[in-house]
Amino acid sequence: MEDEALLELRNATVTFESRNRRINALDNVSIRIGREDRLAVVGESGAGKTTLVRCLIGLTRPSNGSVIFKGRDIHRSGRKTLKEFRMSVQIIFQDPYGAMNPKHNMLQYITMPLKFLTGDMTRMEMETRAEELLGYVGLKEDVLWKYPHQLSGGQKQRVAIGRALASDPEFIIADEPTSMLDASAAAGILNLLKKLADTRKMGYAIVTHNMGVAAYSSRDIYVMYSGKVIEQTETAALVSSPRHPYSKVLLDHAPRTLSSVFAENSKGVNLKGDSGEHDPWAEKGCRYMQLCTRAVERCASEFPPLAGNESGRYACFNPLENELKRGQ
Amino acid sequence: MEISNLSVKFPSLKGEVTAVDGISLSIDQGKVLGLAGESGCGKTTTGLTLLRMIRPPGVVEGDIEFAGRNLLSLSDEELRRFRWKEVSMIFQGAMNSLNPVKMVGSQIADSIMDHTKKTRLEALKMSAELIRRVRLPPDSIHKYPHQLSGGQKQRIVIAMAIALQPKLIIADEPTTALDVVSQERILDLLKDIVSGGSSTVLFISHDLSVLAKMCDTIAIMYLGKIVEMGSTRDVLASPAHPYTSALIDSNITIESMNSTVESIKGYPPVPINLPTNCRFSDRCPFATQECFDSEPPQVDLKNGHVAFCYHPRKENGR
Amino acid sequence: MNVKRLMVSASGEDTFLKKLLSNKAAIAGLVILLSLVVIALLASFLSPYAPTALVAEPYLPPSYSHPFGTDGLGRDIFSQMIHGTALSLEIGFVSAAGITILGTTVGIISGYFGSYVDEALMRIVDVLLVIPSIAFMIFVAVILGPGLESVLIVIIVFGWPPMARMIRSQTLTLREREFVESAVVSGAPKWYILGSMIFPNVISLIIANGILAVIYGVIADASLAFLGLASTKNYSWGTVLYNAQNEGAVFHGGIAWILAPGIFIALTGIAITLIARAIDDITDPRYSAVGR
Repeated sequence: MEDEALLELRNATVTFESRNRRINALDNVSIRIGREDRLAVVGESGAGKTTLVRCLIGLTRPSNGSVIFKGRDIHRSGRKTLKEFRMSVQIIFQDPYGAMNPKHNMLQYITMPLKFLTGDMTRMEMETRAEELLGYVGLKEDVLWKYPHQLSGGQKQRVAIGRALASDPEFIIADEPTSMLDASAAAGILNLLKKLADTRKMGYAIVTHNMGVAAYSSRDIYVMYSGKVIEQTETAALVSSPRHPYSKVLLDHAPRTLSSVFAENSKGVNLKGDSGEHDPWAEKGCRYMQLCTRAVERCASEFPPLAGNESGRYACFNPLENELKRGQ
Repeated sequence: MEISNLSVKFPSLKGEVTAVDGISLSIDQGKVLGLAGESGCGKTTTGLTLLRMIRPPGVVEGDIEFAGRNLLSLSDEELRRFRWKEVSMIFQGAMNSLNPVKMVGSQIADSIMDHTKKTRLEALKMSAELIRRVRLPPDSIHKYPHQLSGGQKQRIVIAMAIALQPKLIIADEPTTALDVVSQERILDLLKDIVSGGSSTVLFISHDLSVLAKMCDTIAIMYLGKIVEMGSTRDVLASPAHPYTSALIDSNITIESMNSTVESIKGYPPVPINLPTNCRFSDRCPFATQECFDSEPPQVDLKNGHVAFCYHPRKENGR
Repeated sequence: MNVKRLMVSASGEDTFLKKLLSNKAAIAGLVILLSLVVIALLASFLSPYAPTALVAEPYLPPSYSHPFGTDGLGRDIFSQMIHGTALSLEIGFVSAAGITILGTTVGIISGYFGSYVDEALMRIVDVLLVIPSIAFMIFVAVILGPGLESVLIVIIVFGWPPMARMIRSQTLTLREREFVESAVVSGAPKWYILGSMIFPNVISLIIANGILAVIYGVIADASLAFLGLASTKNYSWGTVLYNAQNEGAVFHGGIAWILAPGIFIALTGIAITLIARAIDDITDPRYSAVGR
């Protein structure tokens, strides 16, 4: 664990102005990514996931804090570092359709990194390489001549992975790579990412709202709420014993097998009012407090720090019990 | 509600695109029918056809019998009265179609007044009642869409959809755009609303676990055709068609953590000038020559559970 | 779900010219436009009289020898129209080119780079939009004297700001799109993003505005003639129209006199619109698929 991190977010804060108030879409978040990590970042919309991704990939510069790639701050280093960074850390966007220029075919799309990052390739070499990349992602080469509207969402997302692989990256960040896809196509994409990570010694981070997707694809997990990381641990530990009440809620709402759905159906409907009446950007105190069933007095006045040890951290004054320890 | 032999085709330069290909369905009064399948299989087109929303050059053939009338022969004026009053729709992005400069209460009231002779006061009273029914706090009536969360907005849309107590509600991926937590709550709400049994519901989704929760019966669609149909429990717990089993197996859940979820190999072909054979044959692990040659027969299993397949899985293996 | 997606493209291999020539609208437009160009080039052969020659009675109605009749001095309007074609097309196309180049460049740069570049360029646009153009035209006329150059300068200077605004707002929305960002993370430099990501996606807007600019140019020429800023020595469709109004065509029953320039201007507009629509359709990969 003590080796140099590939990519690191240090105390990053991103502030947006909105309706006369300042909102920290990302609030003092630190994330350390090692070379072959398989991470998941989980949270609902508004949790700051997309802002986090944009920071990690260098598209948004944090208002405070820094993005460190192999020991160098990407916003304070020269062109050369940035180029090296773009080659080693790539991204897959949520909407494969939106990530493609409607007027470009797949060859033009997939070879962009070859043109600008790896450089010095002839047209023929690029075409050969593009065919090879399509092979990695399980597509036939006739796809090269297709335009975005001629492919299904799953196929486009595969081409998008192909583009990300073009520069032989060490790490891929995937922003909700499956949320626009059918279940079957989603499983295909996640399996592909896992396979690529195995064969290419590559790491990835999957950002998702779906706890099932996170559990299926990651070894370590970050749970975010309202711009903050509220729990960080090994995925297996979180699934079996979440410590933060919000992590538990997310787990409880994760997709489950059909048989458990049928089992639940027989229990009948349990109606609750909708949440969302609270202000997730409260100035002080725990932001989750208003929805929390375990809130204590202290939660209203100060924000619980992200504390713990190597194996897991959580930001809660009244955490759930550690089921793992109790079982032992 | 009785759909028979419904086809929807769109012309294109390369030939006719058959979005829906001769499907027959029936939904009993007060029941919920789920329509499942990958995107592009014709689920949404089917829903739109029921609202008569397919415009030329699209061509609709077949019969839709609803409450004793043939929907496809309604005049424009009859159609206008028919929509919302007798059939309403809740679709995926509906929450973003609310008017941003109007309070949600008066938006509900407007849609009531458009279709009935109610006065504004009556309509507003009704909207207050509807807001209570979708379990929003009473003061929501005075809020603007931007003051509500996605889930709350979708509740408003549901309120509008049930306002005139339509006989048929078409719900097309009503929760897909929502966060996981509100998604489940909206489903609970919908389930509660339809459990009264006054409305028949066509529930369209690609998410089998959502359908498992919501539906009495379920139809699985592939490339414009229904491949399997029956009570939700029969179809999902003991699927007969290989496509249905593949769909079920590809579902990623929290329980699939330490196993491998198999996706269906290949991609659905473009539905242009398709041959008459089993549509799923080129992706099916059990396909034999006859599957490639001719259309599979209807196989009747127990309790009205049917599959269109040469090799349906019976109780004890295939 | 997305039916359009399912309609696969016919073939991507045809060349642009081949596609253009297989498009009926494009052919119709090209035929009209080429005819106008031929008329302009062969004006002296095609016109029965010199445009300034006094050849008949004033205010004659249309007849076989004078298809559009004669003007207040007895000159043949048909010949004036033929001779005016060259100048009108020249003014129309040169001013459209100027407006399009300026408007597009400023619009894209302003929209893409944003911040103070945008701020500065947009203030210039605002200023040009609020200056009363008539007053400015008279000012230019005084400084440069009437003539073709002054006409073109005035048309271009006042013509580009609305276009720049439109292109800018389109660029602003494109800049935020994920495909632009996926080019950024692919290491694409700014020139590539501008030229290959932004530009192809605003081209239909550019063409649409370019067409309007041609017609704007032809019409603006007519109004400038009215102010005495255009040179009346040479005929354009605008000056014919101006003369018609000035010499009381309506009063003397010269409907054809007024209609003639109108028809020529409309024909030009139709021709360019047809070609532009065809180009738009051809460059959109989605369209080549769908038989509308």
